[in-house]
Amino acid sequence: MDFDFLFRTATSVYGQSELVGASWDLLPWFVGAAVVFVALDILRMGLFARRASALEGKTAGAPAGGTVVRHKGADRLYHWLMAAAVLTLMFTAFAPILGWKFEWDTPHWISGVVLTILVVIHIVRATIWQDFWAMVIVPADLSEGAQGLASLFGGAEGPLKPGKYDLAQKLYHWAIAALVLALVVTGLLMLAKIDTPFWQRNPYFLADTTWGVIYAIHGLCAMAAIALVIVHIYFGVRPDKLWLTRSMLTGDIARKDYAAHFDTQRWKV
Amino acid sequence: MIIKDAIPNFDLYQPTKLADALALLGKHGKDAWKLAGGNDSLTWFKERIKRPKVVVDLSGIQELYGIKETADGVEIGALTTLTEIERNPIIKSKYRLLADAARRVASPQIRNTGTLGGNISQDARCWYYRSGLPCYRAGGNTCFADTPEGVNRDHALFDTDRCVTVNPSDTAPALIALDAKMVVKSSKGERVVSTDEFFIGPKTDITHLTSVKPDELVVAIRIPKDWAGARFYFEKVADRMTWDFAHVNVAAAIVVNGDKIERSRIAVGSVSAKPLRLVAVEEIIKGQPANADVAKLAGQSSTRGARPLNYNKFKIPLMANLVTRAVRDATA
Repeated sequence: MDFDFLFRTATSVYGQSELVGASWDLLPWFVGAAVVFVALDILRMGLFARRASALEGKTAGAPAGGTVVRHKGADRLYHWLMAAAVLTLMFTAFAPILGWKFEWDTPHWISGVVLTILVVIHIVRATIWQDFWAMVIVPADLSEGAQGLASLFGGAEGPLKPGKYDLAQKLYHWAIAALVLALVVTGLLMLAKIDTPFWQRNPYFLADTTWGVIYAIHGLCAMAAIALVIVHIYFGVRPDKLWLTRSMLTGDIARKDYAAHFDTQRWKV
Repeated sequence: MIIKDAIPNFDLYQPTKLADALALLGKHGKDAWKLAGGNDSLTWFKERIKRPKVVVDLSGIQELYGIKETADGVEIGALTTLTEIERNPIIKSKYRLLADAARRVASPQIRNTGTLGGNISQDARCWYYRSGLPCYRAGGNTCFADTPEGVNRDHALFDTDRCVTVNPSDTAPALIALDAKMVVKSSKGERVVSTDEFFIGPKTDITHLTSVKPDELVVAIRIPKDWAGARFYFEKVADRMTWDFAHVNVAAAIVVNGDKIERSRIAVGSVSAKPLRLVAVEEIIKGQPANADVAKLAGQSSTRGARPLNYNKFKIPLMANLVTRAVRDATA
């Protein structure tokens, strides 16, 4: 199969075709895929949500009052700083490609370094101070996920309740984490190509062909990340998820929502 | 028999009206090549490095020719030749700086067909880029000139951001010093941009030296009368006195009031991808006496921040000397 449509190539000094990066013609496809996903979900919500929402949230006991902490201040701050960094990176990367010309290079690498620092902080914090296993996919998630998928389309039984994060959230987290890590690693390598107040450029420590691979990975991951961010924002503003989105602002959820939506044995507060 | 040593085929359009040209550019976008005098274009085609599908020959559009004085200054059609500019009485009497710059472009033969619009829109002359190598400017991700052994004698001192080429135009610094505005049109409308917005560096767009979009056309250059009759200085240093690109060129417009420098605009070319206006030097000499010491200070200040490459270190004292001479001789 010919994969030329994925990449940009040029002719090297030796007269051979060499990879120089990802093809920006793919951008509409990635954005389109995300938009199609969102559209199909909206359609699904319209067709099946009444039955699904009636089944969701059933709980044996009476809901309790008060709130439950879902995200501490440090984690919310991390999330929003990371969001700002990612959106700045995306804007400075793709606006010039789409025709809006401005000095994009400096804000792009600075945002990239900020993102790198945030990611390192997150990895350390999540591993040492937070419940790392809350994000790990376990067999119970697979059962919950299968039943949840059925209930999305009005299946007979209501969804099993997840722990703090459901299967979809965990899958999304690991997908975006993989993309961001690939972007961070390739982006840090690209810093060698520019002059900054801290170092002088030395773009020749890697061969042209290697740079081509690095640029291709960076570009493809960036476009894939745009698609995932669109989906993430959609779920954040979907009306039935607003109670969860608010927890990324206020830090807590209502105790009745905790009891209704989560397996209190898997996520203990 | 397939002829392989000819210019690659393209569709040639020769509109006689500006609106038709703009419509063609709007229709074909990036596939279209704008042909004025052809001095830069034909080299690309003959080397078979640029292979446009469509060429729009602008030479038949009469409304793009001519120099006319207006209430606000002077307007020069983009297709006005450099020879006409060099010899025009209005330009020579009030905006001599541009005439001096135009006179130093290339050779008489090239000036007879080369246009002002083409001169300011010309592409970079870096030989690696011109050879068709996959450098940043060509859409790749490396720079062949910016290496320890790269032949970068004619390359940049300032604002290098991955690409180290320079803008080779001689008229660009003169137009910056005269505070010119470029009238850029497309089928969607018109915009008038300053030289600061017109010329761009690699941080903004590493593949172009100007902000003109594929569907746009430079139709005129307007020079305001603010600097008409000021004291001017233009100097270009190149390996040859004719038919050569500058190592460094300088253009200065200075207004002297009594014995003090009231205001100035000084620009240097061939030291960066975007012709460099020396705003800091202008501030330093403003209000200062017009003497040799101030001129020397201007020269020394002008090269602050220069980051030479391996083979163009000579450009630093050269640039300093030219700026010194510009301030000294323009105010003498």
